[in-house]
Amino acid sequence: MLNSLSLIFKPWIVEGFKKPLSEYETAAGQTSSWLGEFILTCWFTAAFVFLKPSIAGVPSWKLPLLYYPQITFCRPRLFDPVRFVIQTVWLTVFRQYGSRRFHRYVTLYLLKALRFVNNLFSLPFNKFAQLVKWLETKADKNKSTDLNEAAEKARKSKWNNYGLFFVVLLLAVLCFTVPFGLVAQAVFICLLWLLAMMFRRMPGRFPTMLLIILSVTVSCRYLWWRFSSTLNWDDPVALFLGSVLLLAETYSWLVLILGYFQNIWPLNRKPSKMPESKELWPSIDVMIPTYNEGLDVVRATVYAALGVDWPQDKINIYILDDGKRDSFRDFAEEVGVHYIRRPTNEHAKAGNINYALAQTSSEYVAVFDCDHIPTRVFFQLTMGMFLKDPKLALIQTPHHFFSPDPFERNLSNFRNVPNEGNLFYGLIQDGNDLWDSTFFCGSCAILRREPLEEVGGIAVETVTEDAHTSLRMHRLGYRSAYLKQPISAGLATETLSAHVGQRIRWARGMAQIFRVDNPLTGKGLKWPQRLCYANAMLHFLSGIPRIVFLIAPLAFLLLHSYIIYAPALAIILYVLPHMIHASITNSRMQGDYRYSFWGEVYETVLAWYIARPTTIALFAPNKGTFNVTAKGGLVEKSHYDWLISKPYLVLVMLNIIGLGFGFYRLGWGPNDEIGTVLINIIWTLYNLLILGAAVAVAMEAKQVRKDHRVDVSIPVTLRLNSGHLLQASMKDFSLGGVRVEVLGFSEMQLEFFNKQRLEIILNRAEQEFVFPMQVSYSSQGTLGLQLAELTTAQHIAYVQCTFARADTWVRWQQNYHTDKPLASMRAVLQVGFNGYKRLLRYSPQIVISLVKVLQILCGFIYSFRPQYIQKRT
Amino acid sequence: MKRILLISLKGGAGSTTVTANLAHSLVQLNKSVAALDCESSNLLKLHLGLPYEAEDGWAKSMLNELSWQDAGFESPSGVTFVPFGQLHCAEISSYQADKERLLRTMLMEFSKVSISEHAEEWQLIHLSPQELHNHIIADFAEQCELLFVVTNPEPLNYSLLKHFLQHNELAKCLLNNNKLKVLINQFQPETSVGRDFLLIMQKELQHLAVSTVLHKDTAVVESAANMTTVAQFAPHSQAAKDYQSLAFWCVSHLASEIENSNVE
Repeated sequence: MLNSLSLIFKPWIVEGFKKPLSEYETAAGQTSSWLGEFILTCWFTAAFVFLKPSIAGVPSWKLPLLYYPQITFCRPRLFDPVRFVIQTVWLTVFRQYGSRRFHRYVTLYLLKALRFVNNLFSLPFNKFAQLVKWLETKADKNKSTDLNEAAEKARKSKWNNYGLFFVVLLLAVLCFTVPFGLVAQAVFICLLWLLAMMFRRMPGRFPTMLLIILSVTVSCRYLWWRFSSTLNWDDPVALFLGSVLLLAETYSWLVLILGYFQNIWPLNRKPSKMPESKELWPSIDVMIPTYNEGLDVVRATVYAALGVDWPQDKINIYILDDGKRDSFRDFAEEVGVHYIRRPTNEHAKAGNINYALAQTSSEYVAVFDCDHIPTRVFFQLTMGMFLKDPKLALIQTPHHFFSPDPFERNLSNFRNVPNEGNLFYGLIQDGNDLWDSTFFCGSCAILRREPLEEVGGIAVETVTEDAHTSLRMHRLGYRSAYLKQPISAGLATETLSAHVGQRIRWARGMAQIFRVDNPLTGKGLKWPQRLCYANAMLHFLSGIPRIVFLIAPLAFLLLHSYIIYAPALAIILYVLPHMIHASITNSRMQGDYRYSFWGEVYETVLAWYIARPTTIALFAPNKGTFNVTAKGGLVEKSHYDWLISKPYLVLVMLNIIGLGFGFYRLGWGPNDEIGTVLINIIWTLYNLLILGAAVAVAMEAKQVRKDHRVDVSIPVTLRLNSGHLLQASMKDFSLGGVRVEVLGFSEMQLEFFNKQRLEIILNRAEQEFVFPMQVSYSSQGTLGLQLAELTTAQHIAYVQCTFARADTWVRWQQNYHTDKPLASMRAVLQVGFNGYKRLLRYSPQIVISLVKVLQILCGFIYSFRPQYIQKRT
Repeated sequence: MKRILLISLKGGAGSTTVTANLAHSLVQLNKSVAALDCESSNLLKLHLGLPYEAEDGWAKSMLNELSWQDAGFESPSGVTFVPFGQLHCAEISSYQADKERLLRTMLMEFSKVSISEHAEEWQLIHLSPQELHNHIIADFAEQCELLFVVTNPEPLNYSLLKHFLQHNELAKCLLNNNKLKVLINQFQPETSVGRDFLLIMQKELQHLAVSTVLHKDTAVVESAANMTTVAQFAPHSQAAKDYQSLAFWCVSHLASEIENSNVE
């Protein structure tokens, strides 16, 4: 095409057109078609003949490229003329690069406003912060004074306190119940919100309590308003549905309030010192119950237990094998630990331990699930507390997992977002500890034998034998303690279905305890203990309320039933502060252990599955069986677990239908409903995204590695057969080997190590241990080393140098950033959105095609939009 | 001025190697280091890059009535050092005859030397096992911050060390001043006898033992073969790291010692 121009122009002119043409092509990323070349040639000619070489600093041939970014000139498409017309109109009618300036103005004014508010509050803030600081130091100081004296003082001022409490209660009730108009309510919540924003900037426990007070105020007010003025008594269907929602909300409110109570002052216990003389150290039976887990899993735990720092003659290790496997018996004999096998299998783990209790006699019993590896300091850090307090019957330590749980693995956020258990072991148990109601979690705990036998061993009446046992000990007036130190570590459940199965068991068990041995009634417990146990059990009843929340907006969207009988604005003015305050306060209290909004995801995934068993257990507590949680398995292929996500897909479908109805009502419904419709649509969208996250979790990611690798960075030494010692850094370790980073070698030199044998020197407590290794691979400055044959003593030493190091797990918690509620919400919603994208990949072909068509259609329509032009300089 | 004496209880424990490598590691911490070799085998120079043929040294100069200052050298890695000098038959006997005077003069004069105005000055003085009972050393040790007894975790060194700590006058006097430290060298973690003796020594010596243990590493021998220190020759070897942490230990230990005495 270009060449034909040489008929008219001199060759150098034509030659000059080639560069612009290629620039158009690179901008489009395509070679030009004949039509494109024709159009461009015409344009170049016109520009060359009629226009200045450069206009406003841009070569004139380049103008279309700048002003029509959505059109590929070198290869025009069918509808490009339409786009051309739209953009031309846009360019001529609207002022360009205006949006940026607008944007800048907005941010400028926002900043100004923010600074103004800041200044307004900085004065009281500083004064207030000082006051709070003074209170904080005062509270800390009081610890050192004599406790009896303080108790005496408290007794004396008892009536004063009662009086004060009464006045506060009166004020609170007034505050919760006084009816406000919309304007008054708006002012009220704005003030509370500003206070909350002020408090949350202050460090310490008192501001947290103030936040709790604000949150309780707003939430109680909300609930009162809901009960008193949002039920439609004239419409029976709406009344029924509204009551269901209201009950669910009441449940959430109760859990929220109880949660505040439970976690108001996490005790953060410190270990007590052991006596100098080892004579005084008590004897311990370490029990490792196992049923169907592999020998490899049990091995590490036994090796770690063998290497724990405790006098050898005062520790007895027992493998309690309910699986009746000879390989386990042989292993026990080989490494010199006891092996107990019982003739029957009744009552699962509880029965297993009880059988062993009858045959052993040490003063203390430590229970480790066979996949929980104790670190060497385990007993030294814990036993001191028993010696100090003779009424102490139980010390629980956290269950720390070094493998990702299904949430972490399937959403690939291992060690970025605190996992599900983190909240319980990081905060709730510690909060329970203040009220002396830390309960037994079945593993990584030590029990005093005497009280344990007094309550008849581990409880067998329910499937959560652990919590039930500690409840019984509490009833007898024994105390429990919680030490928030990750001094053992274990494997998390492998698959989502196993995880759900485990939670079903917990939920069922807790509901059973509620019926069989209700903590709210019966003797022996103090009222805070009753509340803490009750909250633990209530937590597992969350299934039905959660489902109610997930389908509640549909009542309006599908059935057109006003289940919250109030104007949209009023709903916003009451609901939003309730949610925001709860969110701010929880983020403040739990932020280090659970990021905001992740709880919704965890709860949603379980909701459907625990709803049924808990309900059944509440009515018929003796039904149901004990299922063992399988661990240490593999997920050989990435797949989508359709079975487990079925209920969620149904909920998703319902919500999508609701969304469709919502848009229909938005367009064709009565005008006065728009506010309500919008609220319900937003609620549905939120539900959809949370459900999306639940759906995403069901996509089982591949897990082929049998031994879990633990990422670390520990200096080690490699010893070559030549006697050279090399500095290295251990990057990860597993039961089978380690990966080390070596410095000072080129990639080629490292390859030379392949398949060689060498030794690795690991440190433990300033002692060095040497392990023979075989190099299995080398890449990017690191060597993969595989353990060669080891003796039992070496096995023990290896586990001691890796999994059972005292410092391995401590740093994990510190790695998490502090919670940012809004960022966390975005992350959760993003996960939900991605969930749908991933779901699509595993959907039937027809769905994929449909979505693709829809996508193309949307993209096509979107391509017609006019675009702003960047300002030229 | 920080002054450290290094001595081993028997030959082969590695005090020469430790002196040279510690000197270099201290230089790497921006200290100005001067090393003095007082052992007649005159081997320190080989670690610091002075060829075999160079026979200069303070003893040789003094015997020939020359200035010992002319026998000072600086290694490529920046350590200033004075070798002993290669003595021949006649010189050896005249040195032996007049050893007391020569050694005392040398130590006195060397301790007055200042080689840098900017960096903190350190002196490392390497002694021969023969000087263990020399009263000159006992006197001179008063002016030093630290005496390192270089030993190996093995039975012979262990029994010598025990005897030394119980019966030696020098040891008694330094123990009272808290100036004696046992430095364990050539540790072989792959042998159980090495591990056992290390454990026993650490248990018995407690705070007397330096927390940094030096490993037996082929790279040390190789660096001597290349007439340099291990930090120079094989910076990624364990030995290089050991000496680096030993240097850190020295710096922090002496700093805290001074702080403690100031407080008193």
